[in-house]
Amino acid sequence: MLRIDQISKRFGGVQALDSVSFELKQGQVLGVIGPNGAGKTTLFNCLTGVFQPEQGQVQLNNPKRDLVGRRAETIVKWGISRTFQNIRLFSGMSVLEHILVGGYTQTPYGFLSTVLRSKNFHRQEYEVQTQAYALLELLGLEHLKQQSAVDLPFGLQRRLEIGRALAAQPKILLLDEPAAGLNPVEKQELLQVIQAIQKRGVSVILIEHDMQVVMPLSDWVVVLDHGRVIAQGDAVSIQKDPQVIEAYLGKASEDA
Amino acid sequence: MTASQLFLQQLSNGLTLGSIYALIALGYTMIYGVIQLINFAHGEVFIVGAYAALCVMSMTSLQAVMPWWLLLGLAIVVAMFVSALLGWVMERLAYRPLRTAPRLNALITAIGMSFFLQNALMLIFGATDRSFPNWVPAVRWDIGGVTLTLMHIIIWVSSALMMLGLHFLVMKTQLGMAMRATSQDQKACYLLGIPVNRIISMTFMIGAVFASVGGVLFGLNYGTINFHDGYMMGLKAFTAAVLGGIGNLPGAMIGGLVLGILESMGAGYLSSQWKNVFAFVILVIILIFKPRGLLGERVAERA
Repeated sequence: MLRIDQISKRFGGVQALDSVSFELKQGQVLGVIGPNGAGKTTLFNCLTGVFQPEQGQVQLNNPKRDLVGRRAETIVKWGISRTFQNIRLFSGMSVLEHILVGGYTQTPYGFLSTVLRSKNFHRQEYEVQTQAYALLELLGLEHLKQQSAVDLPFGLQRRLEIGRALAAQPKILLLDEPAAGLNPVEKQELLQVIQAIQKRGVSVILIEHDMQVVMPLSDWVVVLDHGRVIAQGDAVSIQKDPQVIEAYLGKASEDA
Repeated sequence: MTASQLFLQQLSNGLTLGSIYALIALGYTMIYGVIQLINFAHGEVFIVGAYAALCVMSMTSLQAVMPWWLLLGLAIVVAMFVSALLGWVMERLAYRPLRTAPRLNALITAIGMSFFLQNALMLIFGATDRSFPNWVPAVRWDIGGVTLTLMHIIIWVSSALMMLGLHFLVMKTQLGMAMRATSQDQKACYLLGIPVNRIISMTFMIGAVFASVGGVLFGLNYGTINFHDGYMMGLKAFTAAVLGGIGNLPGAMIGGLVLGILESMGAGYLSSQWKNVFAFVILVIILIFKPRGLLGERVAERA
């Protein structure tokens, strides 16, 4: 579905990504873990057109498309959308409005049809609304649709971020630390939401620190450290990998 | 004329002038909201609209085949189109290349654009006043000693309708939502796949459409237009936008009306030569107490 082949990115003297390769298969949840500064968010930024990797290829299959050098707009249109590590919701806008803004790419009607309220416009508007409601229901936010987004509790704000990304109707959803700052109950709810998304046929790449979130969800885990993939495999084998335990899990258990 | 008649008469004049200010001020405030640029050339967009309408209305061949109201309607549509095109071209050629440059660079470019357009208009249409056909029948009503004209009512109603339309566009359509989102976090919008450049272009065009209607109403109401009217009206409308709280749409409408009324009151109670002084003194006083304008929100600190 998505093949990342030997991508590298350097910032000044720092090699943020060093020949990173892995593959996301259709319908999978792929977890990317690694200590702070390992290059996880840089990886997302290279996949979504924020940064261009200096080397390597990012390829989308069916239809075959090369993502390197593309604008974010195009990449979203091709079916990859994302959430942000720091929540970036819009103040003064309701929950429903966030979903509608997220779906903007899917409704390419122009200014004239908006002003002239053409028949096409009404039909599209109806479809967009229906989809937005379905999405809110999936996320359990439908009773809050008129609420101001920034007034929601933290956990629901994170969920709305996911909803806004899903509104673009992606084939691949990139989640940047969706569990950060959530309490145990909210984490459980997040697990269920991600599983529901997977069931709808959306593949997911998940950056996450929290092993209790990554391990049960991920079909495949990629471990980054200092910009390099130090291990990848299914969740069970990764938890046993001595290199991973040393670089990451080991330290985490010492902290705890 | 009694005191209350004078007051009501000036109020009516002020509402008329204020409606035109408000139509222009909306463009300043929308553009500022989306890219934090004071588009000083927006006043020229306003007067270009008036000139475009004048050109259409002066065509004798069209006058022969159309009733006046149809030709006026056509003139307004052409004015909107020409101004929108100007707004689009201006953004595309002058401001977009400077999007990432320091804000002052774009501001200076805007001032340059304003001078450029003023001089271009002077070369094309001459430096003297051009008379603007007043085709709206001079119907007037005398209500308790206060004179209301059909023209005033047309200005009030059409600007109120346009503002309602804009409110609907911004609050209820997906385009409007994308505009509001872009004004808050352009980077996030870009990453969400919103065509940020197109949204900004559309903001310029919508602002220009409002200014052009203001331009036509201005010409119809005052009977003459001049290339430097754009500069003066633009400056006043900018003031109105700041008075209402720049970046805030209802603020621009209220700011426009308040400024128009203040000016008329100044003209009525002091003298017409002192109307600007009066208006700006009040403006300074308001801004001392409400530095962000009448409806300006406190800018929340972002973590």
